[in-house]
Amino acid sequence: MAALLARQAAQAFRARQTAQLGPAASAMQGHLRTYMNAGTPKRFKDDEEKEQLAREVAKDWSAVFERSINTLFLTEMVRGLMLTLKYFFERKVTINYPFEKGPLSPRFRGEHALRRYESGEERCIACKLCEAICPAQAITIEAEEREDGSRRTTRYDIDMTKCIYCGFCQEACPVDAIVEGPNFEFATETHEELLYDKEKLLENGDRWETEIAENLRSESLYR
Amino acid sequence: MPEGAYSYLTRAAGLMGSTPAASSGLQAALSYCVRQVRSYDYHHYLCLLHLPPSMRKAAFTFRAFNVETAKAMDVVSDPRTGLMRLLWWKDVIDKVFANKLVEHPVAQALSSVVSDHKVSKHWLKRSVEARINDANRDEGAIPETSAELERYAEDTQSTILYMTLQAGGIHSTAADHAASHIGKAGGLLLLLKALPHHVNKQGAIPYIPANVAEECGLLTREAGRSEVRMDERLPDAVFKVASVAEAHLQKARELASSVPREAIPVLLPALPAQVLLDSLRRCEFNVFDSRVSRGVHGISPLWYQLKLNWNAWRNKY
Repeated sequence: MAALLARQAAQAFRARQTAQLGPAASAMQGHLRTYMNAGTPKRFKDDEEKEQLAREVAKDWSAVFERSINTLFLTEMVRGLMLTLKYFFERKVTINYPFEKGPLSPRFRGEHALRRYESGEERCIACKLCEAICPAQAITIEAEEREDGSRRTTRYDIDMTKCIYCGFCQEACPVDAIVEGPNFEFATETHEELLYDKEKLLENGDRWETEIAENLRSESLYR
Repeated sequence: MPEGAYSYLTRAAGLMGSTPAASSGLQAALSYCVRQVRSYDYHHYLCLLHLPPSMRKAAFTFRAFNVETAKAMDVVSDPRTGLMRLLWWKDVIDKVFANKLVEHPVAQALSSVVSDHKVSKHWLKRSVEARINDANRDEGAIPETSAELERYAEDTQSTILYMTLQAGGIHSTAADHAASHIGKAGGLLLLLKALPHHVNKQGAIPYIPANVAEECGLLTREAGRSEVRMDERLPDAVFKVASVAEAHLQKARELASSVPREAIPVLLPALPAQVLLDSLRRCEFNVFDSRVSRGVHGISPLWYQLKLNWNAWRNKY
């Protein structure tokens, strides 16, 4: 496309130039004709004339422009192909996504999970700090006391369609029970499937515990 | 939540009321404490291993409590959220001393320790309150004098040693005095070591006192706010704070002769402080040098353990 445009521009430019140079050029042609009439065969003379003309023309700006454009475009093309060749041999930067995953930050905030202690006891103590701090009000908690006097939630719902993934619930939790895990592939077909209940959250916690524990690990204290 | 699973859990919890199950719960809580200390506070974890078994339970619990309160402000993005966590811990102390059940392994271990030994509530309170006051400071505010910083270090670090001594039944003024100095030194050096982290997080230097910064020509005061500049004179300020810490360590060592023998293992945290001080000196008090954060306080873990064992064997700190 660019080449086509350049050629059109060059032609228009040349036409204008011949129009401007009209009288001078015809005078020169007349001079040439008298010179060439001095005995050489007509056909050969014509060729010579053409060649001469071509040489004259080659000196004008548009021809130089066109020729250099041709050269440049050709080298560009070669360079482009060289680049292609270079990347043909280099390591691929794309990954085969659903089977290979890209790197994730340990602070990535994905799907929520409720964690348990290693004894299997759930961590959440129904303090409701996450419910209080949630800016989208996506968390609903109901709690009651157990027979041994410990507080546990009877209901822990997160509306994942309201959640804005700010991570405040995780920051507010004093027992590190609710966390935003590294899972980001939980798209569903219906809205109802994204209304998570306690069972689903605990199941997430069991499934992602290794990764979550690894991400929460820190090496030292700072205060 | 299906009824079945919940009632199952309740029944399981009900069963835990009997003695063996309760002790296994306590065991789990204590092992949680040990794991926390090991992963967050490795150099103190190694120190605690030199304590006699009777004191270990209390010592690990107090250190784990310290881990929980110390990281409260570092896991949050908004200081108010951290404050909320600290206030929750303050409530936990009240509940533990009121014999109420708190479902957190550290709190459970704490209530067991409190029922076994006589531990003063005000040490724990003081530690949390110092952290709350620290969290309550205005954004970018710095302590006025190094005495203020020392008080913070004493409230957060020395109190752990006081409580460990108390739980071990060691009542000695000299030991308490040495513990105070060692805690102050350790606390100050920890704040210096953590300076790069705080600069990263807050964009300003929070734990260099104003009077030290002024002496080094690093202080800028504008509109009633003072701020510590970062330039090539920062190592001077770090050096001044580190000298205060070193003076405390010296004073603690002078007391060594009058400290009872059984209190020595409790005071071993003087060694990590000394090691950190040496590492700082080696890189000319440039806290941003990566050598300080390598290994355990800048030396290899093996060398650190050897030093620790040598000191423990010679009954020195």
